[in-house]
Amino acid sequence: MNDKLIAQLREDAQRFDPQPPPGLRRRLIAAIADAPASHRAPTMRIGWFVAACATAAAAAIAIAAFVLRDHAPVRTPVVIVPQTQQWSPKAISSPGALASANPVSLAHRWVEQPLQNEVDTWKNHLTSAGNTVTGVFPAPVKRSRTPAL
Amino acid sequence: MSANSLPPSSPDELLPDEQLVLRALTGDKGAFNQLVIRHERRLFRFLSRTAANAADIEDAMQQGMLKAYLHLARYNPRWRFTTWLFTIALRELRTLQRNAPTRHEASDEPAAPPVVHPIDNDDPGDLWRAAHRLLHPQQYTALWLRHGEDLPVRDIAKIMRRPRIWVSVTLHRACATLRTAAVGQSGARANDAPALSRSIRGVL
Repeated sequence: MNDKLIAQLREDAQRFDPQPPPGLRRRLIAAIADAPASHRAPTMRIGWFVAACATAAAAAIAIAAFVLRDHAPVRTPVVIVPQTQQWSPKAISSPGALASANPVSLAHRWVEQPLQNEVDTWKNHLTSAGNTVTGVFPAPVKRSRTPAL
Repeated sequence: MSANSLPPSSPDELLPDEQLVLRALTGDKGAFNQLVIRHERRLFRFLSRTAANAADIEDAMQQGMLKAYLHLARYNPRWRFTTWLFTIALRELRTLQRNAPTRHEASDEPAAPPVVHPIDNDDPGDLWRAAHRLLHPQQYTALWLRHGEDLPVRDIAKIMRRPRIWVSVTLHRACATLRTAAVGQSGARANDAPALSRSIRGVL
């Protein structure tokens, strides 16, 4: 039924063939003759150029990032040597030696000895400061303090 | 069409639309005139089936053709030239129809004589006449573009600025409306196409 309906619509449409008014074509052509010439818009070409440049730049950045990530030069690790008397890099020069070291001795070396050094330094500084202060006082004071000590 | 049955009198008549567009873009107005001659009758036929006012039809044709020429650089060869032209002309027609009351009020000229709708001059048995009265204007336009102009759904969607699914559904509903009207008027004898036309003619 639908096919017959569509066939009938098409048949009736073919019968419909109105003629445009006689002067219409002349008016259309006259209107086009008076219009400014239609050219390819330059903005389109500029737009395409900008789009092409942007695409090329994005591709270049992506390629550079890929190359730098996969082919970057290997950096040697920076080792900061602590300024302690007991520490020696030769003692644990290799990862194997580090793994096999006694944790207790490592703690003694890396924690206790630096703390002990710091305490000794503070004691020296406090002693020298005490000597400086007592050296400023007059002699009777120093003599009076002496028996008390 | 009779214009297409005549032997070509100039080499431009043998060129496809896309070649003529390229030549028009280089400043050859004759190439665009050839496009006007080639599509004038088909565009007039489409607008005559869509509009109810002959003056609006002519104005829409003139403004549509002029806009097509002025914006020819925006034409995308992915679409047929006819589709692009129909899109512009239909938009112009809708604008004219929207502004019609204000145009007539603002003008000091005497009112134009009443225009007889082209559809009213047709064979009263024409199924399209029944469709024009039964269907919503959008349904009618979609139906004409599909079965009167033989355009694919994709091109109809482009011309009407609607999604393809909308066009498919609209076509289906339009056919269903016509079928229902035919069945309602001719009883169970709607399977016969000539009987369908006669039944709708009798009702409308």
